[in-house]
Amino acid sequence: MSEALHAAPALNALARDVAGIQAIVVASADGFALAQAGPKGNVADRLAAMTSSMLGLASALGRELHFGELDTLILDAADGKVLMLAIPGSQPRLLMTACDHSCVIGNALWHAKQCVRTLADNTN
Amino acid sequence: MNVREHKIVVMGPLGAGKSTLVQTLTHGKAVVTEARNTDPSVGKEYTTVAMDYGDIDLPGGDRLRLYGSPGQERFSYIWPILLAGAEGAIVLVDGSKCVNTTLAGQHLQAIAEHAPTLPVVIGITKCGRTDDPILPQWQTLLSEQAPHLPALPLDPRDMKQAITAMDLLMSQIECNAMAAAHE
Amino acid sequence: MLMVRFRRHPFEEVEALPAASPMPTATLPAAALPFVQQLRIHLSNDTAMPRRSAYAAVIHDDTTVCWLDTKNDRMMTTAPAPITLTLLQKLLAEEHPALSLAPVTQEMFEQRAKVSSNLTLRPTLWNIALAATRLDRLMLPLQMDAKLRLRRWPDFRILAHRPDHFRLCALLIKQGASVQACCDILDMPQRQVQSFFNAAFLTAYAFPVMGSDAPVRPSPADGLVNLWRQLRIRWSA
Repeated sequence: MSEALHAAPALNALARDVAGIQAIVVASADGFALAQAGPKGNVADRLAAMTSSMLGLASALGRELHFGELDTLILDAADGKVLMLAIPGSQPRLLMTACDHSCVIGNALWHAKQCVRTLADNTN
Repeated sequence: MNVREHKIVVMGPLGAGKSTLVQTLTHGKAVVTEARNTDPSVGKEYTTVAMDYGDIDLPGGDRLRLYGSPGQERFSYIWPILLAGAEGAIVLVDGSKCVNTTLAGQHLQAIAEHAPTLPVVIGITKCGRTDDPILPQWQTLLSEQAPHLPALPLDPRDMKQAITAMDLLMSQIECNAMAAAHE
Repeated sequence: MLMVRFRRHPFEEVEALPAASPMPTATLPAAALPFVQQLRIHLSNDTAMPRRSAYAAVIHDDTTVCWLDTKNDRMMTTAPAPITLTLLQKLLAEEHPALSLAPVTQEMFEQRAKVSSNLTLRPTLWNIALAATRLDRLMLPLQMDAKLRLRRWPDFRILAHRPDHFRLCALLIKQGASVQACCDILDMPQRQVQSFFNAAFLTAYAFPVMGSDAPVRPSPADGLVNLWRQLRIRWSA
């Protein structure tokens, strides 16, 4: 899939640059997995659907509050964190990064945003 | 004040009209979570990715919450979440398509697994004329697959029909409760 | 799927079946069952006794009044519909309707049927039975204390615009009940319940069951159902 090939370098860079990343998925806004990286990559389909649901709900919340376009969602759990970011472009996509407890969230967020910028620029 | 929440879920395959039904019943005030559809095999521009949500105020302060579920199979993990604590469900099926049991079957199956005693009504949407003397294929199919479930044609844009479907669901809820009372 | 267990077993219909024979012409076999029973057997399409043919003639006074096509759920009248329907309604209101049913082969149907109108079968029979209802009794052989239960949910066309029928269906699909029990449980007028019983019985959607009427706990006043009904009253005000 061309999407997967295009995204591979950016995703691999993210996985390499940030310690503690368990999985990275690029999803379409309607929940299909487009690209993936990381040891838990084989559950990308489920993660893609769930990411789109989460961001769909978060967007609805943002609209209720008149807060504007949704950018980033951070989930903080006992054993890890999940980052979900909107990838701007003509075809809206989503980036999800699951990080374990060894990950420093600020660092992960910065690199994830770089990744989003790269992916956005490379829109076909 | 002891105010209670009541929950009804609308399920069914993509494009049957779930989001529309929820909007109709809540006078257009439902919250939606839609994304642009990227599946070329599906003829819809948008698809629900999480749920539709709207509520109706009931006399005495209770509230009726209506949830429209996402129809696509990849969101099936949400169905049990939505069904938890529901008092009834309307399953919508697109009557204009070739009758394909697997589509509504999955949704009925999910209900059978996660909420087996839930009162259910089936709504057939996009039926066109319903005074045709020839029995529609879906009626025959439903009689075989789900003979104990009421089915009625339903235009989800029409408030009167939507209310009729809810009336039917209420009859089901009532009679289920009566039957359960002496088991 | 709804799963409701019942302690009572449905009463198996043990009426004698017509002897297997070559398709009869439009004359009566010697020991004919009453018409209502013949019709119910024909409509039931019990898998234990597969129907030999989907076609049958309904006969009165040696004349075919209409043809039944259960495969496509059609009734074809031999005279203009209002005439046939009025006749059927009059005959079915009698204790012993002067009608008989004769299954025919498809070929015979195609050769002999002179069709004036095409109507839906079950919805039409349902309406005829409603109209043929008498206050003093149910359609024979049902006695006033008969309990009926629904095999399955009736064709939606029958129920369109009849919300009270919905309520009766919802009840009787789960448990057998008598006319009186339905009136008490659902707070409905007897006439309405009686006509429903006749219609459901004639169309073979309902079958008689035995057992005593179960005690019933009414809906809690503050439950969803009653709140919804109150809301409906407000909306229609």
